[in-house]
Amino acid sequence: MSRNRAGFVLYVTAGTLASIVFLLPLAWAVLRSFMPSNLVTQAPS
Amino acid sequence: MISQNERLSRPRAVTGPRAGGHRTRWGRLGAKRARTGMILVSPAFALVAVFVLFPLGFAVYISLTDWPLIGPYRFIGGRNYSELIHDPGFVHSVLFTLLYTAIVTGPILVVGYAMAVLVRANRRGSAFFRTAFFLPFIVGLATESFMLLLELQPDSGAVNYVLSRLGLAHPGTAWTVNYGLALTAICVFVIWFASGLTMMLLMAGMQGIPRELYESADVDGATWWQKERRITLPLLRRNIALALIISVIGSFLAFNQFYILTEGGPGTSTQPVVMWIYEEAFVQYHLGYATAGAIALVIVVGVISAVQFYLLRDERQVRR
Amino acid sequence: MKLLSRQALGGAAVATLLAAAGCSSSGPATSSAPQASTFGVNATGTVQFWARTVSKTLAQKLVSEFNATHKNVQVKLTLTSINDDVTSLATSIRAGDPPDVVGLNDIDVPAFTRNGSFMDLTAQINKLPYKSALSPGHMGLAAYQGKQYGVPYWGDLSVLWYNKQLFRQAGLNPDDPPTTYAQILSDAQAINKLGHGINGFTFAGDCQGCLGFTVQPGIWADGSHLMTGDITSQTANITGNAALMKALTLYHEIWTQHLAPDNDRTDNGPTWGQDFVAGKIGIMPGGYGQVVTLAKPSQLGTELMDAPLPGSAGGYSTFDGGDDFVIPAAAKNPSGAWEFIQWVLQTQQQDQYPDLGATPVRTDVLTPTFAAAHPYDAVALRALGKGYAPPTLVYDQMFNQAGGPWFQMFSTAVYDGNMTLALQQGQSGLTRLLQQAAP
Repeated sequence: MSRNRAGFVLYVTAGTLASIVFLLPLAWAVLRSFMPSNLVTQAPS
Repeated sequence: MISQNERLSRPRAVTGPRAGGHRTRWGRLGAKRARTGMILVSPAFALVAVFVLFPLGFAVYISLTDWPLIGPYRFIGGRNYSELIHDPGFVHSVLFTLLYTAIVTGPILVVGYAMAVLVRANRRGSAFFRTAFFLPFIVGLATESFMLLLELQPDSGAVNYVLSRLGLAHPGTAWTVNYGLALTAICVFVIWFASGLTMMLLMAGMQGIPRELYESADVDGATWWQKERRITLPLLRRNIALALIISVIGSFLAFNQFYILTEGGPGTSTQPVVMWIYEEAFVQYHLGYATAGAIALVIVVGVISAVQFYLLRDERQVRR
Repeated sequence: MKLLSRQALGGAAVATLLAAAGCSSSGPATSSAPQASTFGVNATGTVQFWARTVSKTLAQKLVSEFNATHKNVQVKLTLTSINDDVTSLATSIRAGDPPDVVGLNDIDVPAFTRNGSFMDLTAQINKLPYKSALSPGHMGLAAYQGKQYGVPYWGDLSVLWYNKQLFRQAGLNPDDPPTTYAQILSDAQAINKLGHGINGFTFAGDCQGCLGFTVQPGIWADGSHLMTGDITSQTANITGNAALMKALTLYHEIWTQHLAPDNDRTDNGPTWGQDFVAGKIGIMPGGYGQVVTLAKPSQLGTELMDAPLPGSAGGYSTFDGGDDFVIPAAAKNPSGAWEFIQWVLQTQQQDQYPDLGATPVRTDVLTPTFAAAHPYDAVALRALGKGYAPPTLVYDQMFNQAGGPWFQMFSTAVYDGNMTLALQQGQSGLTRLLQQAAP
C-alpha cells in the first residue's frame, strides 16, 4: 500500500514539474500578448 | 462435343473442392477480384499520380534545366547536380542539418519515452499531463518560434531575465546572433516542442502491450527497469522506429525555427538545407539549381528512412 | 499490379514531357510599345492591379476613389503576400496570365526589365507634362538601355528623425539637426549623457534591409556608389571606397561608445523605432512612413522631427524605396492600366500621400502649401530630387539577406571593428554575386 502511495506521489510530482516546463512558456506568451508593445521591448526597469 | 478450340479457351480447373481462385493467379474469381480492386484503387491512384507523381516528375525535369524565376530556360542535363556537390553553401547546409539532427534526435526520443512512461496508465491527472506535454506540438513551431524570438532578446527577453537571476547568464546575452548560443537555444526549443509527439506515438504502443506480461514478470520478482528493458522495449520496436523516422525526417526538413529565429545567421552558419534551397530559389532566382538541391534532399531522406526501416525491422518478420 | 504501375509511370513520364514542351521555353519575345494615341484615355473594362501588402492603406484608398470617379473602367485590387511579390508576378508572367498593372517594389524592377517582361512606356512618359519632376531614383530603377519600363508609384524614403525635447534637455538647438557625421556623433554623445535609459542613437543592428535603407544615403550624398555600371555589366566598388569607410566608421564609433542601446544588436526589424517613439532616443535614421505610423500625431513636430540624411561633411540624400508602376507586356487591359497610373500621378492624388504614410513621387508637388500642411513629409520630398536606389540584379541578395555581403561587411566593420577585412568581404562577396547573376 505504501509502495503504491509513494509511486503515486512520485508520479504527481514528476508530472506537475514537467507540466510546468511545458505549459509555462505558452502561458507567459499569452500574458505578453496583452502587454502594450513598447513595454514588451524595453529592458526591465 | 467440346471442340479443341473451346477447351483451350475455357479457364482451367474450376471444379472440385481444392479448386478456387488461388490455384492460378488469373482464375475466374481471381481475375474478377483483381479487376474490382483496381477499380476501387484508381481514384486514389489518380490523385497520387496528379498531385504527387506528376509534380515530382516535373521537378526532376526542372532540376535538369537552368530554370530561372524570370525569363527563358535551357535544358542542361546533370550540370546542376555536379555543381551542387562542389557548392560550399550547399555542403555546409547539409552538414549543419546533419549536426542538428544528431543533436536533437536522441533527447527527443528519451524525453518522449520518459513522458510516455509517466502517462501511459490511466490514472488521475494523466489526461491533464498528456495534454500539457502535447500542447507545444499542437500550438505549432512557427508560432512558438516568434514567441521565442521575443524572449531571446537581450535585456528585455524572459530567457535572459530568468537566467541572469539564476546567475547563469549575462542579461545582455545576444542569443540569436551567436552561432553556439543560437544552436543551443534552438535545440532545447525543438526538444521541448517535439517530444510530445514522440510521447503520443510511444504511449499508444505501450498501451497495446498486454498487461499479463507485466503481471507474470511481477510474479517472477522483476524490477521496474528489467520489465522496461525485457518487455516494453522489444515490443515497442515498431513504435520507436516510427517515432525515430518521423523525428529524423522532421529534423532534416527543419526550416521554420531557423528562418524565424536566426534567418540562417550569423552569416549562413545556422542555415539548414531547406533554407538553402529556399534562398537559392526565391532570392537568387535559380529555380533549376534549387530544385536539384531539393531532389537531392528527397533522395537522402529516402535513403536514410530506408536504412532506419531496415535496422529497426521486427526480427520476427525477417524471412530465413 | 506490376503491369499497371509500369503503365502509370510511363504515363506520368509522357505527361511530364508533354507539359514541359507545352510550357513556353522563352518569355514574351519583344516587349510591345503601345502605339494608339487613345492609349490610356477613356479606357473601359476591368484593370487587374496587384499591390504590395505594405502599401495596403494607400492602394485601397486610391482604388476606391478611382472606381468612384471612373464609371467606364474599374480597378480590381489584389494585395500580394509579403515576401511573395516577385514570385507571384514571375509565375503569372510565365503562365501567360499577368495582371494589368503592378505596384512592384522598385528595387525588384531591374530583374524583370532585361527580359522584356514589361511594356515599354517611354513614349507615353514623354507625353507627361511633369515628366522631369518624376522621382529620378524611381525612374532610374525602371530604365534599361535607354527605355523606361515603369514609372514611380509611391515613395518610402529614409530620413534622419530626431527628438527635439531630448535635444533641448541636452543643451542642443532643437531646430538645428545634425548635418554631418561629426555632428551626429557629438549630438548623440550629448544626449547619451542624460542617462536614465536614454540613448543618443538607435539603429536596427540585425536588420540588413533597414541598414541598407538608412546607411547608404550618406554614401550617395558623398557622391559614391557601392556598385557601378549598368545592370548587365556591374562591378563592385567597395575596396578603397572612402565614403563607405566613413559611414561604417560612424556606426562603429556609435556602437563602441555605447551611444545606442545594447539590444540594437539583435533588432532585426519588427521592433525598430519603438524606443524612438517612446521618447528614449535622440537620433534615429529611419523611414518617413515608419515613424509616422508608429508615433502619436501629437508627437510629430513637437517632440519628433525629421531632417534629410546627411553625408559625411554636408550634402544629403535619401533611399528611394517604395514601388514603381509597371505594366506586364502580356497585360490584357494596358490602356486601362495607363489611365489608372496617370490618375494616381496627378497632383490631387499625390497630395493625399502623406496622410496615408507615403511620400509623393513628383518633386513639383512640393509647394509652400504642401510644406505647410505636411512639414515632415516635405523634408522627405525635398530629398527626393537627390534620392537614389541602386539599379542592380542583385539588390536582394546583396543587401537584404542575413548571409549577404552587405551585412557581413557591416558586422565585421561595426561590431568587430575590422575595416580592412570588412571591405574585403564586401568586395569579394558582391563580385561573386554579380558574376552569378550575369546573363
